[in-house]
Amino acid sequence: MTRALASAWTPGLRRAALAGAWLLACSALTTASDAQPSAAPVEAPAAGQGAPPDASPHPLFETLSPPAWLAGRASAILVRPAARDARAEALLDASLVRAALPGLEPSRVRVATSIDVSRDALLRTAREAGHDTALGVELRLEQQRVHLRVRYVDASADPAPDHVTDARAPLDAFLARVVGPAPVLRGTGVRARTMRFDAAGLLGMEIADVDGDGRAELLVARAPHLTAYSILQDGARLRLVRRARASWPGAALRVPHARRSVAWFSQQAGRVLVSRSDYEGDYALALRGDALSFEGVESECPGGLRFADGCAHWVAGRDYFGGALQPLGRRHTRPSGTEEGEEDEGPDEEARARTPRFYARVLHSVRQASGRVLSFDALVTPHGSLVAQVAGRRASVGGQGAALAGADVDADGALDLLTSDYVREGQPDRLRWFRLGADGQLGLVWESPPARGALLHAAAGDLLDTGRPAFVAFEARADGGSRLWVVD
Amino acid sequence: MQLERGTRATAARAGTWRRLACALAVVACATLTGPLPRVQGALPPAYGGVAVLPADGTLARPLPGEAVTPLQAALEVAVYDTLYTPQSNGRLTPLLAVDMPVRLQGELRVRLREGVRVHGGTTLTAAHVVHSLDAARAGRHGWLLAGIGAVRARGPLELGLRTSLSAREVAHRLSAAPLAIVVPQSVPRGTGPFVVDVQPNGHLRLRGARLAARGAPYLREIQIVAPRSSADELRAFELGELHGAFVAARGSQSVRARTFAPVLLIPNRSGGALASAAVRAAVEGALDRARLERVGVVPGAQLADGLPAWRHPGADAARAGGPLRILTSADDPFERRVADALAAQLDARGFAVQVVSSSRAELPERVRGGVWDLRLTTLLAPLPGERALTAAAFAATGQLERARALAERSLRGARDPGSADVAAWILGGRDHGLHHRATLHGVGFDALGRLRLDALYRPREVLGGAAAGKPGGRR
Repeated sequence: MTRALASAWTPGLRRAALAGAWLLACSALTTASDAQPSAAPVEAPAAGQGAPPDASPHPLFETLSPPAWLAGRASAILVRPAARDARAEALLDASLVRAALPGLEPSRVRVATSIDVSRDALLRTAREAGHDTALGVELRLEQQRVHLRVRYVDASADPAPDHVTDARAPLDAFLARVVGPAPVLRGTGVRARTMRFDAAGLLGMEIADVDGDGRAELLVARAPHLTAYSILQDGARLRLVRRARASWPGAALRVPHARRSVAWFSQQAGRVLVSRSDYEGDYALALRGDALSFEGVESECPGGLRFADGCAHWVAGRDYFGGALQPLGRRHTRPSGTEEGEEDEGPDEEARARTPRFYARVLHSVRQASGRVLSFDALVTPHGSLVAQVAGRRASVGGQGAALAGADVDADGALDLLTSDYVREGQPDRLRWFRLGADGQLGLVWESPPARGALLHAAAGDLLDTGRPAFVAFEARADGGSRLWVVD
Repeated sequence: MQLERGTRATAARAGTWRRLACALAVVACATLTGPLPRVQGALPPAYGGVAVLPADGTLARPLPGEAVTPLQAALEVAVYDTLYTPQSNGRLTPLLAVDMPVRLQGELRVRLREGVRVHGGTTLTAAHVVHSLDAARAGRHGWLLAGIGAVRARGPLELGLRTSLSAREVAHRLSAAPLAIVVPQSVPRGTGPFVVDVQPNGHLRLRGARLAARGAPYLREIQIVAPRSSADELRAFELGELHGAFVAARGSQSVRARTFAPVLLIPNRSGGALASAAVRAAVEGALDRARLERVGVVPGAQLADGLPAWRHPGADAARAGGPLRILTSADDPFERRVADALAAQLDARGFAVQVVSSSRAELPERVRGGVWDLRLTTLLAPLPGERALTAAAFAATGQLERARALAERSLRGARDPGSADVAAWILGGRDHGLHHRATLHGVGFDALGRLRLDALYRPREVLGGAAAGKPGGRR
């Protein structure tokens, strides 16, 4: 009997059973999570209860501008749509109350759920419940960006004035619980597009908003100049549009000179700063109209690369950064050396270094579904290892190149990393997409087809203005025809 | 029978087509799966490791302007720095200087970079530079400073040069390797990427200087071992004792310099047999440059493209004989090989040739003594450009006044038509390249044909872990 059952349990039947189980599970999940929106307000728990204690303020709510007449209010009712995942509601309410109703005790705010947040509906709800203020919250997802609209209605006045304020932020794992997740990222869904991009002598690249229009530009530093580009998406096609170009300001060569010239970027006080390994000087970039300008500034990390947790400087006589970070704002002192000390004593001091030295490092704060913000740290060492650390857990994988970029592309609370390959002479290079989870696990998501050139530089950012970060990487080909990769 | 024959023919044709299709498929597969073009790699070169190279001449502590062989010229560049350095695109970049010279109070001022470390630990000052340039003025490359008067220190890091030459011209001159800055200590010291030690066995040990102004080299150490015969060098290379060789070896990779140093045959016109134009014409007629290729001379009669060759009328038909003495440098085996080849050519035309080799120390004295008829020299151009090459040729042939006169006008730019006659035969260019093992990367030459020792590196898979780069670990 058992043998008969086993023989009937063919691979086809197994697949059919798995598919059936999958469908059942999906329908059960849909039923559980997709609460049907109702027009009538439904009472929710009191605001501010149940939020995780270590959740930091969410940037989406911090930009709201409440009306001036809000001061001195006795109580309020906040009407919002139901979250897709009930676990997000406590923190959502706490964040909304803190940002939208400053000065009002959370205990004096009642929360109700409804999709009808029109002025009349809000006024009626507030007066029926005996509150002098009503807030209606609309949340919607456009591409991978969340739009928040809050309508304030003064129920104590007649006619009741109202006030509307808007905010938007890229989708993250917490907001995904509120408005719904981004499509799940799988290796087969990764799209890599290439464009011809002849940029000989490329020193570095970055994606940042330098003109303050809310849309990121691609900044490309080359030996003679720095250029800002926009990438326009026309269907599936991408078009690179040069916005502005500026020559580097005259500056003294660094001592000791760097054998490899590299430019690095950092964000400081809302400005994009750029420095070079071969010339002195830190410059803030500004793009006004079609003019790109360098402005000499006093960096928090003079001559080095600024991170949120400190300042990294190039190891003297090497072409990578030292792992031991210095406190921000302190001027770096060049190591003094005796005759022995200034000469090479070993192939590399990497083995002796307590903290790994790196060609490139990514330090990202990624918001988790719970609302907590976790710091993800990833770097590629001069030995070609990708070393990642999150919440005290470390993972590493060898065989990586010098290019590194990171972003939470699919808003799942994990950091997505793009690296290049550890290439031996004559071998083709390639890009790799890793996912660094909050549990410290590194997983390979995708690998590009072979590239003819060398991939030494990469960057990540919302280049396509969709709220979804994209990776760019530069493939330098010795025989010309270099390429810019856009991977999303 | 007919039918069978026709069927066989059809089958044979079909077989031929099948074979052709198979061959095409194999070719297509080979094309698709064949190696891709070489790429540099997505990791920059690693630091560390040792390379062992042979010398191409007698080894001695390098000093600016003293090189007689291409490798010695490369060693000078590896140990000493100049105030300015030419880029591959011809532009000058300040190296020990901060920026281009500026005219101030009737002189050109050059500011030095702060904190440049001389091998041994002291910091470079203007006084060091003044001393070094004064020493160079008194040496055999003093003509490079023609048109530049006294050099004075105007501060700890500022020089003043009395000259009417333009700032660009002066910067160009100061980029010449013979004017590299030497700081006299217990031994001459430089600021270049390598610190040099002369080993008790005569070998040179170049140690990477981490705080070099030009940047630390990738290799931790380069050992230059004393020259040996071609056969011994080849054997050592094939046994893995050397990472590079100047003789071609089976399976080695090779890189050739794109700039050849001209090889000059200089006649002694002031005395001896070659004071006679008729004898000089006969010598010229005996020269067969094509036959010099086997000893490493790329045939050519001109100093540079567009410059006239030195010619004697009626050289093809001229006949003469008698004893001739060819003077060569004992420090350069290449010269000896060329001299022997020339001796064979001249011998066939009735000259009795004696090849005399003289050491580096004795050679200038012998040249001044005049007991020679022909001498060989490799012209290692100190600066790019035809004018500089012509001036260097004047200096090499003993016409220092003409070199100075040219330098007083300018050493930049194209030829000076009135100064092209250097009164020496150009035999061709010295073929210079390096055959290297697959485990030595970054082999290349600069615009003046000098091996770039600071750009050499070992692949990561050879360097490996912590033990990588230890002298014993040659591969």
